[in-house]
Amino acid sequence: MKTSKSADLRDKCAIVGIGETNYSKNSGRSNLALGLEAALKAIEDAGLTVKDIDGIVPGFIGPTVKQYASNLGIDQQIKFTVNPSIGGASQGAGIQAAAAAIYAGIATNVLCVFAFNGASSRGRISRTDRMVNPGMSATYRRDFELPYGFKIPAQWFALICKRHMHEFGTTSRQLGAVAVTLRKHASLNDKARYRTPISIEDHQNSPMIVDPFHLLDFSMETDGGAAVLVTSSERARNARHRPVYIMGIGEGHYFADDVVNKPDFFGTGHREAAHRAFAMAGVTTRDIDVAEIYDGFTFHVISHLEEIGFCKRGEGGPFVEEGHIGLDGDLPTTTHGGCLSHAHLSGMSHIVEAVRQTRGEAGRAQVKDAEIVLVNTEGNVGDATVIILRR
Amino acid sequence: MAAYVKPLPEIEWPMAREFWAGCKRHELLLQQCQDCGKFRWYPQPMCPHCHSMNVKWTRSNGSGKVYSYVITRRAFGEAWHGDVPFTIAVVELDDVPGVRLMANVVRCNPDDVSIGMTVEVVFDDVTDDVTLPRFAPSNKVR
Repeated sequence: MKTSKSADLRDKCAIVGIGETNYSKNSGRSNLALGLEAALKAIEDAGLTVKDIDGIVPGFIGPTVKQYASNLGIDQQIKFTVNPSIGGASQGAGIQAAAAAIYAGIATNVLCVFAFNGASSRGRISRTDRMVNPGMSATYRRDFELPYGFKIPAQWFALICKRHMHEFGTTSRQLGAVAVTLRKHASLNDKARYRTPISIEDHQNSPMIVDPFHLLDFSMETDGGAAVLVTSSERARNARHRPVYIMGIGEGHYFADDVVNKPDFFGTGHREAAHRAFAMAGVTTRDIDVAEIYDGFTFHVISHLEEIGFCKRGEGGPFVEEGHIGLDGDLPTTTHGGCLSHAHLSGMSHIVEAVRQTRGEAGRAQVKDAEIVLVNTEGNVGDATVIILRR
Repeated sequence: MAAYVKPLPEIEWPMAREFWAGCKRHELLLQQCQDCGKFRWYPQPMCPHCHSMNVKWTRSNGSGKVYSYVITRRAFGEAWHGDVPFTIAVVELDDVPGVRLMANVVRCNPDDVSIGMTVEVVFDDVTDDVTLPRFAPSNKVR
């Protein structure tokens, strides 16, 4: 038997369908209704029917495999399911698993879907009257952090950002540059929740919530759903739209769920995830035309650009301030406005935007000649995936 | 004394029972591998370096430096309404290499906290059963 290596997976699979619901503060519908809408749209967008689906990857929160299979009426034809639970990084990890399963011939058309009433539901992540992060690390949160008032994701990242400012001179105005740029991108997107342009002064004048984070450093949770459909590159030839090939994909972890004790305070899984994705793709950061960078907070964009390797660690602040990440810059970033201004779908909406850019269907935010597009997903501070798509 | 309304640790959780018992005695104890001697935090059953399951709890003198901190200016939950603005810091302990602890910085205006500031552990007997370690500037402890 031939020994396979990860590079074998390069270009073997493609994303052929995308689907999204509207994004709002109160959908008035269940997570499941949102997920089913996104699913059906993605299937239709691919030029397929429900009967063609034989794999399901649900979100790490929201509806389950069982719920999708039951409602779509396709229990008996499902050959592959996987349910990563690494926070927002699950979106990318699920696509990696789907690609591997397709390449191995286990499944043919895999639906990857995320749907959640992030803004209106009782289960939303920012709820302040209960613990975040169920699971093993809940005990660490409960016993060693919560008693001191440390409870929401904003505090985790504000803590890392504060040290980043101390070590590298990163400034709040540089965080503001991220907020301003991404809002500008969102103003070109009809589905974005926040489209009114803002200035650095607006950012600086917004209330300080968790020093050093102002209100405009936070993303706003969203009700909505999005789905992508993954298939083999061979089958993708018959899809309705031009295929978007998965050139490279990688997953990485670094002391996930531990903000306090990790030896490298700025370390995340992105370094390894990027290394693995770029190795599979056979390209470097210089070949990336567009970067859909996950942005739960403004600081994420600086951190992820550094850790993925678009700039050196500590240089992310000047990098965003100098305009590289604008649509007219040399690395247009988060072109739909991201979690900060478009919608918070734990990264799935960034994957959808990455597909649109690669297809040439990103409307007013379309980057000219976008051929190779990178998208990352992040979870639990330390978990990460990086996906490199190409035309 | 007014009732303590903030969340409390589960002091009977077996993995950290010794830690909380130490706090009650006003001692800061941390996990140390019995075999390779490396310290670790948060508490876990296996040493990630040598994979031994033999653990002991070793006392730290509680002196350290602020490594990073945040100032919470908006209360996230009723229990903290009276406390904002307050500081949550990550402190590197001088005598326990590689270990950092999270706690509030007390006896200090949040705006006076800085990275690199020297601090010492102080023990807050918040209830009859639970004592929480916090940190105060070194010159406010002696």
